[in-house]
Amino acid sequence: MAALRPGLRRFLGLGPALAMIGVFMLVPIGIIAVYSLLEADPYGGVEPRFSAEAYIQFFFERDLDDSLVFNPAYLVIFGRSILLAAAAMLASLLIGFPVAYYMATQPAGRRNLLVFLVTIPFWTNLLIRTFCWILILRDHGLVNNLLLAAGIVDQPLTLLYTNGAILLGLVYTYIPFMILPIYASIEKLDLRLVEAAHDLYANRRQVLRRVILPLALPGIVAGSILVFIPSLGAFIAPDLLGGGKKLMIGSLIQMQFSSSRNWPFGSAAALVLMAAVLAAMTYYALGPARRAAGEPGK
Amino acid sequence: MAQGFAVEVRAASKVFGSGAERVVALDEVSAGIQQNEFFTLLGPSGCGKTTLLRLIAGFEQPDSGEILLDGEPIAGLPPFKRPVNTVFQNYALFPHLSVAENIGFGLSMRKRPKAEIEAAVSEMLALVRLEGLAGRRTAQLSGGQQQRVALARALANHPKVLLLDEPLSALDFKLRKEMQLELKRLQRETGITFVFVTHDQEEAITMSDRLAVMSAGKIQQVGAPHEIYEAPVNRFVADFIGESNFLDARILEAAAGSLLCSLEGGQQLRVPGEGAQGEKVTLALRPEKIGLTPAAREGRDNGAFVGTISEQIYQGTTTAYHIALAGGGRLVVRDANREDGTAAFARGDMVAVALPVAALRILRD
Repeated sequence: MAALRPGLRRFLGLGPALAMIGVFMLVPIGIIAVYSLLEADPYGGVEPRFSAEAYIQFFFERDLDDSLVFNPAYLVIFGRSILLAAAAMLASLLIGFPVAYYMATQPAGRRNLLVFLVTIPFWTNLLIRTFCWILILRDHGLVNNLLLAAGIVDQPLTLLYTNGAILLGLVYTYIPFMILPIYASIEKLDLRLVEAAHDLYANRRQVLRRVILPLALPGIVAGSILVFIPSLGAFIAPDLLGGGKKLMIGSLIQMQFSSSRNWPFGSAAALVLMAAVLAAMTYYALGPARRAAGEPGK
Repeated sequence: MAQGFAVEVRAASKVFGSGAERVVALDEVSAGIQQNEFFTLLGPSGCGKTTLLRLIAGFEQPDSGEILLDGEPIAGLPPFKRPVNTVFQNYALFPHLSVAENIGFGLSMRKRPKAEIEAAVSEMLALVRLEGLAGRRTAQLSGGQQQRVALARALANHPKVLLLDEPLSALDFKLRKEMQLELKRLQRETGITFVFVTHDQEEAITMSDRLAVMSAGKIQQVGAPHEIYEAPVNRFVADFIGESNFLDARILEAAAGSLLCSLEGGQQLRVPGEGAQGEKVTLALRPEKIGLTPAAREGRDNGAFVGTISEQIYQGTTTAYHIALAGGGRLVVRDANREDGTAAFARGDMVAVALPVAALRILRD
C-alpha cells in the first residue's frame, strides 16, 4: 500500500465518483451521440452506417430535386419550448418566492410541516396528477362547470389543449423545485439583518429589494435552473394538457423513439437541446466574472 | 435640564408569552435620558434592559406606557421612521454589501444624493479609523473592524439617539478596553446621546455619564457611576455593582442621626443614620474601605474588630483577605500590597479590622 504513488492514490479515491459520472452520464450521452450519427432503421433502432441526415433534418428540408431548403419547423418547436419553459420558470418564481418566504418565517415546528406538505405531491405518480388536471380543465370539467353554474359564462371556456394549460402543468409539476431552494436560502438568512435594515430607514419594500432578495439570490438561481431545465424537456404536460398539438421539444424527442421510429433524429434533437442549455448556463455562470471584468476599480 | 430629555420612558410595560410562560420583561419602567449623555442600562440577563432598548428602537411596542423622543411620543412609529439607530450585539452587517455600502445604507434608503452619501461614508470611515477598507466585504474584517463598521453605519445617519446593544460582548478583553475608550471618544466628538446596554458593571461604571441598574423588569437605581457605587439604594445594587460586605444588624438605640447597631456576632457599632429601635437592617461596606492592622490585643478598639485571615487571594496591586471575625461573621477586605508587591498579611494571621462608619451604608430590603 505504501508503495502507491500519490497520483494513483488520488485517482483511486476519486474512483467511485468518476465511475458514477462515467456510467450514468458520459456513457449514455456517448451512445446518444453515436446514434445521432447513424442511419435510422424503419423498424426502430439504428443501422450501423454513418449518416449526418439527422442533423440535416433538424434544420433543413429536402426538396424534390434533393436540394436543401431551410426548414424552421423544428426550430419553432424549440423556440416555443424555451418560451414555455421560461414562462414556467417566471411563474414558479412569482408564486414560489412568497410561499418560500412565508414558510421560512414560521416557527420551527410549523416550518417542517410546511416543507413536508410541499413534497407530498411527489408521492403520487406524475401521470395521474396530470390526468387530474384534464378533469379540472376540460369543457365539462370542474372549472367550467363551476363557471357555468355561477352564470359567469354561458359557453364552456376552452382551457384544455392550450399553451396556458401546458404552462399550468409545468408550473404545477416543477414549482416545488423552486420553493425548496429559495426556502433554504431564506431560512438561513439572519432575521436580525431585516431588523437592521428597518433600523436604517428601509421600509418593507426596500428591505425586500435591498436585503432579502440579494441574500436569497443563490436559492432563486438554483430554483430557476431546476424549473427551467426539466420544463424544457418535459413531455407529459405538453402531451396530455397540450393535446400533442402544440409540440414541445421533449414531446418531439419522445415521439422519435416511439411512434416515429427515428432514433437518430431523436438523438440529434436531444443533443442540440443539451448543447443549447449548456451554452446558456455557461454564459450565465461566467456572468459575474464578465461583470467584474467590465467594471474596473470596483 | 432646560432643554428636556432626549428620551423619556413613562411607565412602559412589556409582557412576553402568556399563561405559564408569561414573562414580565418590563414592569412600569420610567426613565429620562438627557441630551448628549452616555447613558447605560445595566443589569443581569433577563432584567429587561434589551427590551427597553428595543422599545426605543421600535422593534417592540410597549403593552402600556409611553416613549417620547425629544418630547414627541413615538410609540406608533415603525423603526424606519424613528430618528434613532442601533448598533447590534452581533453587528448585523449586510454580508452582500461592501463596507462603504453598509455605511451608506441608511442614507441611500432615505434617497440622499450620491455625493452626500459618498462624503458621509468617507467622513465616517475617518471617524472610526477604517480609511482604506471601503471596498472590503464585511466577512473579510476582524471582529474589532466589524464593530467599527457597525458604529459608522449607525452614526452616518446622525441619529438623535444611538442605541448600543451589548456591542462589546463579542470582543476579547484587550480589544474591549480599546473600544470602550473609542466609544467614549465617538460620543464626545459627535455629541450624540448614547444609550448603551451591558451586563458588565465595570464597563458601565467606566463609560457612563449616568447609568440605570435594572433587575426583574424594573429600574432599581439611576445615577452617576460614583453615586451608584458609593450610595447603592438596595442590596441588589450594592451586590451587582462592585463587591460588598453585607452585615445583618439590629438597631439597639436610635438617637438623632446616630444608631447603635448590634451585629450577628454580638459586636456593637455606632453608625450615623436614621432608624427606629428594634428595626432590622443590612449594613453594606466595600472591601477596599476596610482597614487592617496587625492585632496587638484581643477585643475592640475604636470601631475595630478582631479576626483571623482564612483566605488570602493575590490580585496584583491588591490582595483580598477573607476574615473570620472573632465573635462570628465574615468579612472580605481588599488591601494594598507592600511596595515590593508582596501581601501584607498571611493566612492564619490575627488582624484588627477597622470599619469606617462613615462608609457604611444602611440598606433596608
